[in-house]
Amino acid sequence: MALTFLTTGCWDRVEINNRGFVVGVSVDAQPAKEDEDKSTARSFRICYQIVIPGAQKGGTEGGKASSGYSNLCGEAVSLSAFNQFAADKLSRPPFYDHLKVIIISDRVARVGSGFSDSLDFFLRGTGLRRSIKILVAKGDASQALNSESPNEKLPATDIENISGNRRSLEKPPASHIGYIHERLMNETSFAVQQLETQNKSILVSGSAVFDGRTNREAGTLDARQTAGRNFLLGSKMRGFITFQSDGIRVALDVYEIRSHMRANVRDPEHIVFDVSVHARVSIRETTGAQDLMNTSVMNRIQSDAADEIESMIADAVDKIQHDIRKDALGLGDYLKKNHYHTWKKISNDWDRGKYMLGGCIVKPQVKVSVLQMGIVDKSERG
Amino acid sequence: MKTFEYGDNRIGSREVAMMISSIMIGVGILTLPNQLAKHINSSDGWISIAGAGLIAAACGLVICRLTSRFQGDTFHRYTERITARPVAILVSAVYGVYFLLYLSFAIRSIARISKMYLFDNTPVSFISVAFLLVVVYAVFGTKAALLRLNTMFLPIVLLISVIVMLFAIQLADIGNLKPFLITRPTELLSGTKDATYALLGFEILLFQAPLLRPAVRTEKAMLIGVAIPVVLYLLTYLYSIAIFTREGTAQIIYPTVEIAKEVRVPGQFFERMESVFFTVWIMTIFNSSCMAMEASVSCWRAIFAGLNQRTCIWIMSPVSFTIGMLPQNVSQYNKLGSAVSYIGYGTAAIIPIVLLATARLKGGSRVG
Amino acid sequence: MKEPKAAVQPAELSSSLAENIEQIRSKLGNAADLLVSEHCSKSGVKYAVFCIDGLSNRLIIQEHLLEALIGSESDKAELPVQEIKSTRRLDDAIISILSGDTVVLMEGMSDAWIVGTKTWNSRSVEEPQTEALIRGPRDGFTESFRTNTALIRRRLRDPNLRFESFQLGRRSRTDVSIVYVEGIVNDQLLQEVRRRIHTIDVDDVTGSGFIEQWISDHFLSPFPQIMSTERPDKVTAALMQGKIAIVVDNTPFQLIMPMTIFSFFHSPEDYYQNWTISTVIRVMRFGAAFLATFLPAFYIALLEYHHGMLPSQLAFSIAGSREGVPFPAVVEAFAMEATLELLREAGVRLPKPIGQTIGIVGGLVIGEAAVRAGIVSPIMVIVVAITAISSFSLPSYTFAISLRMIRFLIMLAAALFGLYGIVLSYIVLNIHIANLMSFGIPYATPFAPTFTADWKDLLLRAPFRLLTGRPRMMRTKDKNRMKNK
Repeated sequence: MALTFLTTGCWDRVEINNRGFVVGVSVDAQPAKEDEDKSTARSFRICYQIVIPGAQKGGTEGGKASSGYSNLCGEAVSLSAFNQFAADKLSRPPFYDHLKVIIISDRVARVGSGFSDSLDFFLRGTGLRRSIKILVAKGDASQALNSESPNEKLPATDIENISGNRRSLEKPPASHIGYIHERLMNETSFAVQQLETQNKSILVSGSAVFDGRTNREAGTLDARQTAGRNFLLGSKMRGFITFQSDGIRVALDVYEIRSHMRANVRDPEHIVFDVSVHARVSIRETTGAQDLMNTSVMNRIQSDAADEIESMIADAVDKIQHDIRKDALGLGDYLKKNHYHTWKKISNDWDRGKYMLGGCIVKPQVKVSVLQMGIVDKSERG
Repeated sequence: MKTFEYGDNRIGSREVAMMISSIMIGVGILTLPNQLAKHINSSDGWISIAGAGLIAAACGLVICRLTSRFQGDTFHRYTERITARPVAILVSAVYGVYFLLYLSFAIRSIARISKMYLFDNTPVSFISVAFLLVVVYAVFGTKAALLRLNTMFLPIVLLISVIVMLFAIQLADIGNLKPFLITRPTELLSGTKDATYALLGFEILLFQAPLLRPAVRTEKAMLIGVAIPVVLYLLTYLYSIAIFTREGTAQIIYPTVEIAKEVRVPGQFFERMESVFFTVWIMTIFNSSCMAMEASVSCWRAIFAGLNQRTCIWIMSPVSFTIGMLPQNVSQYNKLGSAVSYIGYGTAAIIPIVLLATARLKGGSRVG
Repeated sequence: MKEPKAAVQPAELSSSLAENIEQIRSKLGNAADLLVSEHCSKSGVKYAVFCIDGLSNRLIIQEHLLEALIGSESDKAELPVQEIKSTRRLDDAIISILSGDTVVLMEGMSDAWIVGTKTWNSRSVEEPQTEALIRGPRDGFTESFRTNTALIRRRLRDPNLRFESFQLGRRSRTDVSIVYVEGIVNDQLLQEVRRRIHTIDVDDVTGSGFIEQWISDHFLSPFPQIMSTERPDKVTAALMQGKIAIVVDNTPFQLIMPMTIFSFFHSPEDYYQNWTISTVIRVMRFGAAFLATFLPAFYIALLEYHHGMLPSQLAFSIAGSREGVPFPAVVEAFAMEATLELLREAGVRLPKPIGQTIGIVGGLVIGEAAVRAGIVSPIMVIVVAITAISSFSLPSYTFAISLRMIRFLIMLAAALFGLYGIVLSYIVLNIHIANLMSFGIPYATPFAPTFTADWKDLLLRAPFRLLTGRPRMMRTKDKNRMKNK
């Protein structure tokens, strides 16, 4: 035994520069060939973004000679098949511990079980973390890995940072793979950030709504509807909302959203959800020359803001209730937690079957508090 | 130089409490939330854990009574007194086998989990051997030193657990603990059964009688010793549900480690808290293994009177290793674990109760 | 007092002066530095005076002793000296001569007078080299036994301070003294120390190191179970805690026992400074000891096994900087650490001016050059530097050396098993420490076994008002060091 210690090497000793660090993965649908039988397993087009550490520095060499990463793309039936392929192609076998983002094309997400199947590989792997960010791309996902950003060297880091920043209400909070796993297990519907690549630059805005049961994308919410959803759920996102108040346009910086839900379950077919939303804001930009220190002006602004938010929420609820028809608003979840017995009776008919979701009424009551208005009162004279 | 006894080599109640906590906190905590979440809805598992804790405490108190009744005697000797010689030999053999299996299972578990989280290619046998050798080294030393090791490692383990939990607060969503009290009692009972397995180990007190200082109040020490793991398990379970939801926890095989994985310590340096957490966990499993091996050795030595401690260890180690390496796949591994736990119910609960009852019936006089 | 085994029957002095002179001369092999002079007093009595040139104070002999002998008008001269003993035994007389005393023999008397005239050139009391403090006394022990005992006496003017002196070593006859405070120290401990010391029966007791290794409980362990120090204030503080000191001639390093592992983290300076600062610095020392032992091992483990553990940016940047470095991190780590040890050893032997420069040159320039040449990565240099600095910050040199040696073993464990290896080696280290005893006290006291009352002075240093009792773990007879108001 002791001798074997000395003679054999150490099985897991791998030099750090012999690792192929995969920081980003994109999954696209492989377009079916005409003569292909649709019932056979579809394959994916997968891209790995692999870090080239040496080129990261670039300092002593001078200039931006190399890009610091390289994308390996190929077709494979599953993620593990692609892993094998990558190991065949690369001198440094893939290493996933530093994986940051996984981008899945909406074409994969809309049909079959491509979405959850792609995620299985990354949930099961031991070194991977449950905080890898998942995004759904409109159209082709691999383009995102080729984007160029003025700030970041690696597109994957770029996407991760955009996804993680909480400064916009127009996207839902970043969805981690762990979070998605929990939603899939609970069979609740959820929303995932949506990504779009145009001319090599990335835009993350809006949400893709997934059905927790079929694990497929059921629809999308645009920017405004996503904002409404954020307000409804009291999410931790910060951002701006713009609206008209008394002829002028006002932009508010929303600091904090607090949302409190209550449900009246007397009539299971028409459950009433009273949601009180309290938004703390500061005034960030105005057109016109009103005196913000004037109480009535302030009240008007607050009430107009509240109206605007209520309308956003209504917009979101409407889209979900009537178009997407899957509960990504946390309503069912709330019932399960707080009205369990009622929920047990109707859960099978909530967002399918009798479709109780359609019958319920969401009544938002929004209160806006302007905490600050900035340094100046008026910026121009009328 | 001949060693010289200047200090007192007997242990007080604080050491007893620590010893009991150390041996109880073991591999069980890593999987407990997952096992409970499989059948128990929402966060009701806390009832199971609390129930298991009470059962453990009760059995622990029975053991305390036994030990204080026969102060100064080794387990074998007082079992002999209560029953007959052959019965005592049988009983000791049962305990000997039990602790041996406990040790084997611990070795295998450590190797398995290490392989998952720390290694990739290293064969399980080598990981186990390294661990076993360290355990053997510890058991070669004096018994007092073993107990001192408990005192040295337990605070570190508890500290890291507390740190992880503190930082995990931001990850937890209390809402996930709702709804409350929706599980059927039958499920809760089976959950209690699972939880008791994770709480085995306190029967080790049976073997510490000679070491106790006369004034030691074993009952208090036992209760504290049992309370610490129970509280720890409770918190871990609740955290797991809060962070991963019950359905998520039911799918994650080692939720405790995953919590540590998710924890973000400010400062960005430690992205991988779970390695720290896990390496510290190795320490507590090491403690359990040491105590188990030591207890097993003393059982066998009681049966085979002339057996040297060293020889016994040399024999036991390969046996233990072989048993540990027997399971060839996951289900066999689980079967080994079940076997240990079933025998454990016997050793921790049934036998002490029977012994105490027999002792009471035989004659009320306490042996000083 | 043990008799040397060679003695058959203690030889006695005869009453004949000439015979005695002859005997003494021949026993010493007609040594060139043995001065024998014969004198006749006024009253006609013949005296002989023996001394060793270089060991004895010739001034006293010539100005006082000889005057008294020569000018004496009675049968027996009155010697105007303080230190005087008499003996009949030849061996005692010879040993006294060799120790620097003067032996006076009188014709017709078989008793010899031994006059204390010891003096020799020794180093003046100066700051201890290995244990310098910023705020604290700067006197350190010297090679002279009497000076050392005096330094202790000066600090503890307690009548209960006992020095049990005797001589060890058949041929070296080194003066050794067991020092303790009666009424504080535990009697069992004292007896054990006495017993162990008196088992020493060798030719030559070369300094305190020999005694330390002989009487240690576990001589195989890398950890010292007895502390050696050059500072008198350390000794007196230890005596106050109920410990026992051994003062040895011909070495500035005196011994204190029993010791626990925590004592090696304590420095007298902790008591001279404010308690908050001392506490912070003590905690820092524990951190430093941990770094000094484990940091290179962590480097190996993180860079060879657990790449997922590093933050992504750091991982990429390290991977980038290691492009082109030919050796794996393990080899690099071992090579650099070994080089550092070599530099350290070399630095000790170099004369002062060159030593300083080599330190800087070796460290910076060679390291820089190695990095430039691409043999070593810059992170390794940083790791090595931090390790070295951390090990220097420990107050006890012997302890720091032990850690240095252990560091290599842990690096090996890390190279084999990564983080798992580090944990296992940490456990092994703890097992070893748990099994160590120093004169009956487990090495890890008061942490394990636990004496919480002693924790006030362990990791932190509580304000003096709270440090009312002596360490409980020493089981002293007198428990309080402070009178409560």
